Amino acid sequence: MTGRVPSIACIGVIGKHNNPLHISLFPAEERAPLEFQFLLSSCLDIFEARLPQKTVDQDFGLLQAVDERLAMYGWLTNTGVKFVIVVDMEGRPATASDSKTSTAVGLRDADMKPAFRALQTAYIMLLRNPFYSPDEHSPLAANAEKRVGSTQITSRKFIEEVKRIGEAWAPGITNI
Amino acid sequence: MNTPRNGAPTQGAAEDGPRQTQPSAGVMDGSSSSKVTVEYHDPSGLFPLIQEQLSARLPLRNLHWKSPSRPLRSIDSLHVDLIPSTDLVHISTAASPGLAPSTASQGTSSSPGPTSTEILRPPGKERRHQIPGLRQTPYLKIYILRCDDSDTYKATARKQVREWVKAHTPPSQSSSSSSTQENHDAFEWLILHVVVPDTPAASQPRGSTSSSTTGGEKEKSRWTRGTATILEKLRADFNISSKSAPDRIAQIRLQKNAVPAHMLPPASAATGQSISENPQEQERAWNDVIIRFKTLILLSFDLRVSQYEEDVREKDSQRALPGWNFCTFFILKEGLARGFESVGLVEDALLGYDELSIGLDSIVRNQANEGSQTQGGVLANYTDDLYRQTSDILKRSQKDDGGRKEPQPRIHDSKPIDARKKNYRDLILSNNISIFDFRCYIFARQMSLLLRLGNARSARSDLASKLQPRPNARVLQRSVDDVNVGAKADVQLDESEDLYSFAELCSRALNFITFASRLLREDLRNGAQAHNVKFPDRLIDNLVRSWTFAALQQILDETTTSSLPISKFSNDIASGSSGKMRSFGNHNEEQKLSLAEPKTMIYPARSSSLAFGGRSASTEPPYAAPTASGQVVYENGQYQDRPAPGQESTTPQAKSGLQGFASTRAQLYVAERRILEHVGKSLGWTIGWDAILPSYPQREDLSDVDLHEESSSGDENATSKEGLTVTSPTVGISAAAIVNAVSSIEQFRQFYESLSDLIVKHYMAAGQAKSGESILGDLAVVRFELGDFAAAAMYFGRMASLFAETRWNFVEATMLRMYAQCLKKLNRKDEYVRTLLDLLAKSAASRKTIRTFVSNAIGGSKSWLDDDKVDTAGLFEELIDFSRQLPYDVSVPMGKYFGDIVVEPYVRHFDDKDGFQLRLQFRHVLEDDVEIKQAKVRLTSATSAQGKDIWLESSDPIQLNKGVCRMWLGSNVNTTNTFVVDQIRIEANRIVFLHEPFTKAEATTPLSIIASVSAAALKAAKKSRILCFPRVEAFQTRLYLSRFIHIDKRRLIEIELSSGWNDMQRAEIRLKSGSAGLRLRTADVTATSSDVDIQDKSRPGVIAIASMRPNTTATFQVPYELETVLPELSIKCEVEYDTEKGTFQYYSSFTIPIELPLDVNVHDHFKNNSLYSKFNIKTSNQYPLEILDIDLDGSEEYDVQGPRRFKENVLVLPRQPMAMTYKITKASERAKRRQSKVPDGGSLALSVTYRCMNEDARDRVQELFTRAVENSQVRRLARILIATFTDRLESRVLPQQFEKIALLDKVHMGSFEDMGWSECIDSLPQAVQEETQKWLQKWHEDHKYILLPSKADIGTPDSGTALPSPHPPRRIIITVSIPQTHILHTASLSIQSPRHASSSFAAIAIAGQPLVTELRIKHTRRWASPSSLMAAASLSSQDDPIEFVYTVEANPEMWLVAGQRRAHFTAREDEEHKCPIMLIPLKAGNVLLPSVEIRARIPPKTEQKRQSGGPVPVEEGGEQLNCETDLLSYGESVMVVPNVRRSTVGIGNMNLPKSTVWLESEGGL
Repeated sequence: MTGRVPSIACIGVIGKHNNPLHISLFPAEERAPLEFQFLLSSCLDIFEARLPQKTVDQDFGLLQAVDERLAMYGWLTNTGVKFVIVVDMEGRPATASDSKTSTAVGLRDADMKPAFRALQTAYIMLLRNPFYSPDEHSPLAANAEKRVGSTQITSRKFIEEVKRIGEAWAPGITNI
Repeated sequence: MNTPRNGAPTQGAAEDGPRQTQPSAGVMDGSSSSKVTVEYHDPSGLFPLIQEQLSARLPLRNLHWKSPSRPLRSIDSLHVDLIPSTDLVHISTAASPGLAPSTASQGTSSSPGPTSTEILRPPGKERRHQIPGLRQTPYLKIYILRCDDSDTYKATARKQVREWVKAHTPPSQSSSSSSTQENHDAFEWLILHVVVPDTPAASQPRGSTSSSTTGGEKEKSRWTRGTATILEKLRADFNISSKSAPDRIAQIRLQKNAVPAHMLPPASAATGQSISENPQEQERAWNDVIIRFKTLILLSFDLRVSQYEEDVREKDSQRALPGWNFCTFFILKEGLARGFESVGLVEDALLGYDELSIGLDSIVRNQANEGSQTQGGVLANYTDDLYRQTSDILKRSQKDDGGRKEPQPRIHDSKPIDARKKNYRDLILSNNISIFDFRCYIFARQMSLLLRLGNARSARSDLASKLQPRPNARVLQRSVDDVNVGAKADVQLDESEDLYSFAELCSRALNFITFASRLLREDLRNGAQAHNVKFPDRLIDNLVRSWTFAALQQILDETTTSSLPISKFSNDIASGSSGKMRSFGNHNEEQKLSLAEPKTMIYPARSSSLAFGGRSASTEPPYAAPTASGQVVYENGQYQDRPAPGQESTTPQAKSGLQGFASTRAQLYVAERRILEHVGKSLGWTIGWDAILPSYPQREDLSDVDLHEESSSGDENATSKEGLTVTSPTVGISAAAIVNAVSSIEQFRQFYESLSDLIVKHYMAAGQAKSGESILGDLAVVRFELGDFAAAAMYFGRMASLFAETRWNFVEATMLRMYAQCLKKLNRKDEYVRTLLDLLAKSAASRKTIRTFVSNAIGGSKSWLDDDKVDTAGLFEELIDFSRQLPYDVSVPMGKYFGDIVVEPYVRHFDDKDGFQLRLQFRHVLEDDVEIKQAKVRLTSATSAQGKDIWLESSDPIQLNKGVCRMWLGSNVNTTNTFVVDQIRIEANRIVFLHEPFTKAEATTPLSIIASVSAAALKAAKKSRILCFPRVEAFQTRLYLSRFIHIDKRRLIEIELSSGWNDMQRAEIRLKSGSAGLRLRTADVTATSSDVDIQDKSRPGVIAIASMRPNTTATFQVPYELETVLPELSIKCEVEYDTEKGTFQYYSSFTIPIELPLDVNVHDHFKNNSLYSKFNIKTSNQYPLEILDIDLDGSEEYDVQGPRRFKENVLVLPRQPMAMTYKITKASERAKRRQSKVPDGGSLALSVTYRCMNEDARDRVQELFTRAVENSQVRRLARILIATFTDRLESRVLPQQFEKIALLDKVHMGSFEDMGWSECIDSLPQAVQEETQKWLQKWHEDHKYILLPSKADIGTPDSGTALPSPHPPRRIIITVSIPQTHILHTASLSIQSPRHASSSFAAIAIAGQPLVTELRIKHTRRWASPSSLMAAASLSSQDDPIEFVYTVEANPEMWLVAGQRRAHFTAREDEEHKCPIMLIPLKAGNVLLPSVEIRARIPPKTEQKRQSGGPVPVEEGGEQLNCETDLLSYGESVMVVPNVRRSTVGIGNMNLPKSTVWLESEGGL
C-alpha cells in the first residue's frame, strides 16, 4: 500500500438560506477555493432533494461522490444549518497509527458522524455566544439592510474549532 | 458437509481448462433470468404434439410464493425452459418413436454419484459444482404418459411410471432420504397423461360434466365415478392420499387433427366413442396443467430456498471457526440470490447481494487490519490479468512505434462492469480472486439486478438474448421453451421503466465506481510491487481514469431511457461515444476501425441490439406500446390484466422518479467530466476555472506527472504522442471518448463542453438549479476561453446575481470579475464600469468590516476560506483609467468604496487670506493607488433651509494611497453660520463618488421602520454641525437701520464694510430682500464716507465699488420701501471681492428691526394768539429709552417757544413717559404774507435724539467684550466669540433687566454656564477648546457686573466699566402738523355784580340771589387758512360775518339760568359780542360756572350753492367748519353761600307743647 488515507478536505457550514457561513479547506494551500465552493453549492440541491424523505435523522450521509478522491457528506441541523464535509480519500499520507481499512473498504457514513457531531457542538457553542446573532448572518437581513459582502461567521473560536475538527478527523475515530 | 467443499478446488481447477475453451458455456453459466427448467420425460414422443399448446400458455404468470420467513412475494411471469430428460435422449436416439417403453433410462440414471439427484443430471452438459446453488436443475419433471387404454396401463404404463417415479422421487418425499442437503436440487414431478384421440382412453369420460365445477369437485366426481378411467387409476396409484399433498396427475386430450397419423392408433383399435372436447374444456384442462406446473414449481422452489437459507445460516454461524472461507460462503449465499433471481424475485436477490457486499467489506476490513492471512480466506490484493495487461501496455508503449500498428492491449472494454467478463465465480471458488475483481463482480450482479428491476431496455434485450434457445443445447430437436413467443412480446410489453431503480443504480454506481477506481489503482500498484516492477504513475493514472470513465459511461448507457427527455440527446452522445469506444486500439484510425471492430467484439449481437433497440424504442413513448392482451391470464377472476395498472402508475411514478434519476445521472456525468479534467490536466491542458484563474494553487498533485512529462506536455501534444517518450501521456487510456478527446485540445474542449451541456440538462431536469448553475459557470468559462464573450457574459452576469442572492461572496466576486472581462472585451463600457464598481464595492465592504482582524487573516493560518476576501488588486486603477472613455459621469455612493468618511467639523483658516478649510478624511481600503481629480464637500446651512450652499474644493489632484486619506478642502467663503455637510464628492475621471451623510443615516434604520427621521437627523446633524466663522482679520459687513430717521422721508439702511486685511481691488455687494414687500433701492445708494467710489449701481440689488484699502471702513446708505408694515427686515448680503489672493465671497444675512422704539403723542391747546402743544414721549416696547435731546423746530409760519433744555438725559421708562410743552405762535407778517400762497404749510418738526437701552447696553457690553477678546490669546476666534456673545446677550441676559440697567447703570452678566457657551465651544477645534473655555470662564468671573455709567462719570475706565456706546445716538424727526381750526372763540363769563367784581378771590354768591354775569364772545380766524374757512363756512369772503349759536350749559340743579340761554348771533372776526346772563345759584357750595359752547350755524349747502354759484370748491363739501372755544372762565368757581344771616328763637314754658317760638330772622341781601 502506498498509504494515503482519507482526510477532510473541506468543511462547509451553510446557513438556512443556503448562504455560506463558513468554509474551511484542508490543507488550504492545495485546494482551489472556487472548486470547493461550487461543490458545496451544488450539494445543496441534494439536501433539498432528499429532504422530503428525511424524517428525524440529521445525518444525510454520503451526498455525492465527486470523483475518485472526493466525496461529500452532509448533516442538517434542526435550524436548517447544513454541515458539509468533503473527504479526500487520499488526503494525507498514512501514518502508523492509521488503520488501513478505509482504502480497502471505503468510508462508512458512521465514520463521519463524530466529525459532524463535533461540528454541531462547535456551532452550538457559537450560538451560545451572546455576541453572535444568527440573524446577522442571514442573507435576508443583509439584503434588507443593503449590506454588501458575505454573511460568514467570523468568530475566531469557531473557526479554530472547525480547523481542529478538520485536522483531527480520521476514519474510525470516535471522538473529536 | 465437508465433502463438496473439499472437492471444490480440484474439480474447479480441473474444469477450468475446458471452460476457457468454451466461453459460451461460461456466459450462460452466469446468466440471470427468471427462468426455471422443467424436464420432461417423453418416452412416447408426444412432446411435439403438446408443445405448441403448452408454449402458448407460457410463461407462467402470477405465481404467489409465501415462505414462512418472508412476506408474500408475487412473481409476475416466469419463463419455463422445457428440456427433455437425458433419459429421453437416449431413448429417442435408441428407440424408435412410438410407444416403446424405455427401461434403458434406468440404466443411465444409475450413474455414479453421491446422491440420487445427481444421477439424473445430464453429464457434461452442465458443469457440476459441489457448492450448490448454481445449477439450473429442473424444478419439475414431467412424465408425459401415453396410455391408450386401461390394459396398456395395467400392463406396462403403470410399471413404467412407477419406476420413473421411484427414480425421481424428490428427496423430500422419499422417506429414506433425510439429508436436507439434497434439497438444493429439490424438484417435483408430474405425470401428464396425454390422451391421443381415437384411443380407448379418449373415450373415457374426463369426469367433468359441467364447465362450472371447480377443480375440487371435478376430482370428487371423478372418484365417485369409479375407477374406470386411466386417469383415475393414475391418481389412485400415484397420488399420495394426503390432503396437503399436491395433485401430480394431469390429463390433456389431443385434438385429432393435431396428431400425426402414425401416432394414432389404427382405426380398428378404436373401441369407444371418443369424447370430443369443446375448446372451453380444453382450455380448462390446460389451465389445470398450468396450475399444477405453478404449484409444483413453487413447492420445489420453496424447498430449495429453505435449504439454502439453512445452509447459509449454518455457514454463517461457522464464521468464527478456523478455516472458514468467505468465498465458499459467498458462493453459497449467492446461490440463494440467484435462486431468487431465477424465479424473478429480483429484490430478494438484490438484498442477498447487498448482504454479501457488506460481508465482503468486513472480510476486507479484517484482512486489512490484521494484515496477514486470516480466517475467512484471503483475497488477492492485485489482479493477475490486470497486471499482465498493464505490463503489456507498458511494453507496447515502450516500443518505438508506440505499438500503434496493432490494437493496443487494454484492461477494459466498453463495458468494464460485466459479471460475465471473467469467470469470476471460478475465481471465487478457487480463492483466487482479487478484491477489485470481487467487488466488480458483486456490483455487476447488482447492476444487472437493478437494471432488471428498472426494466431497462438493456436488461430486457439481455433477457431476450439469454432466453434464446441455448446454442449449446445439444438436444436434437426440441429444446423448446416459451421464449420464442415470450421474448417478442416482452420487448413491446414492458416499456415502462422504473426510474427509481435507475436512480438507485446510478447513485450506487457512482459510489462504487469512484471507490473501485481507487481499488484499481491499489490493485495495479500492488501487482507491480508483487512482480518487482514499477509502472509509471502516469500509466496507472491513465488506466484508472480510463477504466473509471468507461465504467461511468457504461452505467449511463445502460440507464438510457426515453423517459428522460434529454436522454435523446444523451443517446446520441452515448451511442456516438460508444461507437467510438469500440475502437480500442489505434485512435488515429478509429473511424476505419470502428467499422471493423464489431466483428472482433465479444458480444456483437448484444451490443448492437442494445443500441438499435434503445434507439428505435426511444422514438415511441413507453406507454404507446400495445398491451399484450393475448397474454392476459384469467384465472378464477383473481388475476388481472397486468399491464393496465402498471401503465396507470407509470406516469406519476416516472415523473417523480425522474428528478432523482436525472440528478444521479448528472452526477455520473460530473464524475466523467472530472476525469476528463484530470486527464487534460496531466496533458497540460487546463479547462474551466483552472484555465483562467491560474492564480489559484494547482490542486493537481504533481506526483501524477513526471518531470519529463511536464516538459513535454506543454508542447504540442502530437509530438509527445508520436514522440519517443517512454510513456506517452495518453498511454493506457482506452476509453474511446477520452482517447478521442485527448487527440487535440479542440476535441478536448468540445467534449468537455458537450459533457457540461449534458450535465446542465440533467440537472435542470432534476430541478437542481444550483448545481446546474455552477456547471453553467464552467460552460461560461469555456466560452470565454473560446472567445465567445457575449455568451460568457450572459452566463456570468446571471450567475453572479444568483450567487449574490445567497451571499456566496467569493463565487460572486469571481463571476463578476469574469463578467467584467467579458464586458470589456465586448466594449460594453457602461456595464463594464458598473460591474467593476460592484466588484470593488464587495472588496471594499469586506475590507472595511474585517479590518479588525486583518492581521489575523494575514499573519495567521489561512485554513479557512474567508469568503469575503476578494482580490481586486489593479481593478480600481483600471476602473479609473477606463472611465475616461465614458461619455458621462457615473456617480456611485462613496460609502461603498471608502470607509470612515468624515469631515471634521472644525474650520481652519488660511494664514494669508479669507476663507476657510475643512479636513476631509476617509479610509481608502482598496489596494490600488489612484489619483483623484478633485474632492468637494458641500455644506448647507443647518438652520435655515434657504441658506446658501458652500462648496469646498481641493485645489490639486490627489494621490490616494491605501489607508487613511486626509485632505484639506478650501473655500473662499467668508461667513458665520452653522452648517452641515450635505454632500461629499470625489471625482476621479468619470467616476464620481458621492456621499450624503444624512440621507444615509436615515436610510439605514433597522427594522426598516421610518422611525422619527427628524430626530435621527437632528441628532446626527448636531454631532457634525460645522460652525463656520471668518478669521478676525477678514472682511466684514454690517447692516443696520440708519441712525437718522425722518419720519416722512424714505427710510435708509446702512451697510458698513470693513475690509480687514484685504487689499480689495473690486467688490460687488449684492443685497437681497428676504422679507416680502421690501424693496431696496440700491440705485439710490449713497456713500457716507468719501474714500470709496461707487462704480456701478445700475443693476438692481447690486452695488459695485472700486478698491478699498486694508483696514478701512466704508458705509453706504440704501433707501428702502415697504409695501406692508413689517416689524423687521431680513436682508441677505453677499459680497464678492477680489484681492491679489483671489476672489472671495462673503455671505451673511441680517435681520433688522425697524419698529420705532418710541411713541409721541401731541396734545394741542389753542389760544387766541398761541398754541400750546404738549408732546408725550413714551416707549413703544418695553425697552427704556434715554432721551438725549428733544427739540421742536419752528417753521416759517410758526414760531416755537420751548422750555429750557434739560441738563441730564431723561429716561423714559415704560411706565414713565416724558412730556414736553411748546408754545407755538403764528409768525406774524411773513406768515400773513404767505397765507394765500401756502395754505397748508404749518408743519413743525420734532426731533428726538435718543438711545434705546437695549441697543445701547448691548453695544457697550459687546464693545467691552470685544476689547477683551482682541487683547487675549483667543483673538483668533474673535469673530465667532463676539457673534456668539452678542447673540446670547440679546437673547438671555438683557431682556429681564432693562429697567434695572436703566436705573442702576449696571448689567448683571450671569455666570459662564448661564451664557451657554458650551455649544459654541464644542464646535471649535479641539486644540483651542480648552483654552477658550478657560478664558471665557475667567472673563465671566471678572465681569459679573458691568457698569454702564452715563457719560458724565467716565473718568477711570476700569475693566468692569463699559465705555459709552461707540455709535452715535439715534435721531428721529417727526413732523408735527398744526391742526386746522377755522374759528377760535374766546369766550368768558364774567360776574358783573359789583360786590364781587372787585374780589380777586372766588366770587361769593348767595344761593337764591341772582348773579349777574356777562358773556363775552369773540373769535379769531387765524388758525385756519382763509380758503378753507370760506369753504367750510360757505362764506363769500373771508371777512363775512358768520352766524353762531351759543349755549350756556349749566347744571340745572346748580344753576338757574335767567336770560338767553341760547342765542344766535352773528359776528365778524375779533368782534366782541356781549350779553348779560343772570345766574341764580341754587345750592350752597363751591360751584363751577356754567360752560359755554359755541357753534357756527352754517346755511345748508344746497342753499349756499344756489346763492353763491361757482366759487365754492367742490372738494370742501365734506369739511365741517372747525370751531373751537377757548373758554376763559373755564374752571372758575363761585362760592355759593346760603342767604341767611341771623335767626332768633324763643323758648317758653317747657311743659307746654308750643313753647318754642321763631322770634326773628334777618335775611341776607
